[in-house]
Amino acid sequence: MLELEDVHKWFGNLHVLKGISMTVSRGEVVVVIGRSGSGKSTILRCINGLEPIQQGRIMVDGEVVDAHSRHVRKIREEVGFVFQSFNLFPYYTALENVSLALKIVKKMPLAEARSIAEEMLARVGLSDKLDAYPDRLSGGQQQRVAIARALAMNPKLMLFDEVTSALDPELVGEVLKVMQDLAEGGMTMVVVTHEMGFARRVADRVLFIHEGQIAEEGPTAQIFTAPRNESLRAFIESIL
Amino acid sequence: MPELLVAFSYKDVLFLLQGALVTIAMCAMAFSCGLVVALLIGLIRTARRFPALRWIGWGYVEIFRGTPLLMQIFIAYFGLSILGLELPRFVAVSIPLILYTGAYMGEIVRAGVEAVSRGQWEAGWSLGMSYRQLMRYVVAPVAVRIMIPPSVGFLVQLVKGTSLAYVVGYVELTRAGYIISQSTYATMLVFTLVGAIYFGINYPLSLASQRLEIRLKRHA
Ligand SMILES: Nc1ncnc2c1ncn2[C@@H]1O[C@H](COP(=O)(O)OP(=O)(O)O)[C@@H](O)[C@H]1O
Ligand SMILES: [Mg+2]
Repeated sequence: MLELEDVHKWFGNLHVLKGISMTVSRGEVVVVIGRSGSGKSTILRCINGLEPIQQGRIMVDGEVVDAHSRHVRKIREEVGFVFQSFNLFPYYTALENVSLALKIVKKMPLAEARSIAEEMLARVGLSDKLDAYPDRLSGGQQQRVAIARALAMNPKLMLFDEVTSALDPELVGEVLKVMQDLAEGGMTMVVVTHEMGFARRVADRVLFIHEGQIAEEGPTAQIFTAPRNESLRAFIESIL
Repeated sequence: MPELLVAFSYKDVLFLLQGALVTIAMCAMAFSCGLVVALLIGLIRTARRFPALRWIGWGYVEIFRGTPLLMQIFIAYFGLSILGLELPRFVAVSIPLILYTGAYMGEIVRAGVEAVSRGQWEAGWSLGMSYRQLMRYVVAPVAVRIMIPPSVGFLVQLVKGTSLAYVVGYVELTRAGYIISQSTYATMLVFTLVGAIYFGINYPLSLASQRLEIRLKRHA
């Protein structure tokens, strides 16, 4: 489903990704951990072509991701992205946030877009907030709308970039719950998170990124109970 | 004093109101055409991928904001006629007003577009939207709300700015006032009236913008 081959990324002179290779199979949930600034967000942003890469290759479902080509828009339709800062459109209701891209990108008739949006919002537990504007929603609710917005496009792959980091602690659970349901429903997911409990419950595999490289990867249990890499051990201690 | 008032007939008032209509028409024309220029400039100035275009946009804005409108009108009117280009007065006055509007409003458009966060863009991109779809459905709703107050501020400037057209003899409100004051000698009265008419044009603009702002803010 997703394949990165020796991906390098520079920001000017800053070598941020130094040869990332990974594969994610259909239905797999991969959690990416690592210190701030290690390159986790950059990996996700390269996968859906928000950032161009300078070397290597990224493939989503057999198609090469080239941030500069027109075709990247087609790939983005199939890759859902959920951001740390929600990024809901402020002058659209929850329902409109979810249905907008269905209407203008997928060119769906209004009624169909609306019914899919309602279905997605129901799935994230927000059937009672269809007509609410983002400023009337809590952080957890906003993030769930953002997840519904991405899901509505019927993506093959979902990317989550620290989606609970901006939330008050008591709102984290409702968002993780939605993500867990999604994982159990068979969605292919790459999740950058510091929520180790979530990683333990949901991840099939964990990648530890250190200074732009995959320093260690393996089944979830092994990463947490028997880390081999020195910096991974230090990292795990620092967050527990 | 009584003679002066007698000399000032309803025909004169009519003449002033005619001048006011010309002023309004000039503004409407300059503002709508200038807005097209401004959108172009605003988009050019925010286009990351075309640095050369960005510089052209920057030069244009700096030149037209950095020189007096009066001078721009002189150059368009007298300068071009020296070059052998005899433009009708209305056109000679309109061109600088449009370009002047383009420069100021272009900056307002740019500020509006730049006020939209990177995250909004990225949310749009990641849903597969094109640049045009993003501009229209994601950026515009935010940018337009930000642009309203400074745009009205500029429009009020523009209404007053059109009075400069009198220097090339174009009969708008100020010129009309000047002509009447020459024939009636009721200078104070005439120009008080002229001032009141300008105010009468501008005040409703400010009011309308305030109401619009409140209406659009409801869901910020
Ligand atoms: N747009 C950018 N321009 C320059 N440097 C950037 C940019 N985005 C990220 N970086 C740098 O790349 C490195 C990795 O960033 P990021 O992928 O955001 O890390 P993480 O998500 O793991 O915290 C950091 O050093 C960061 O400063
Ligand atoms: Mg990050």
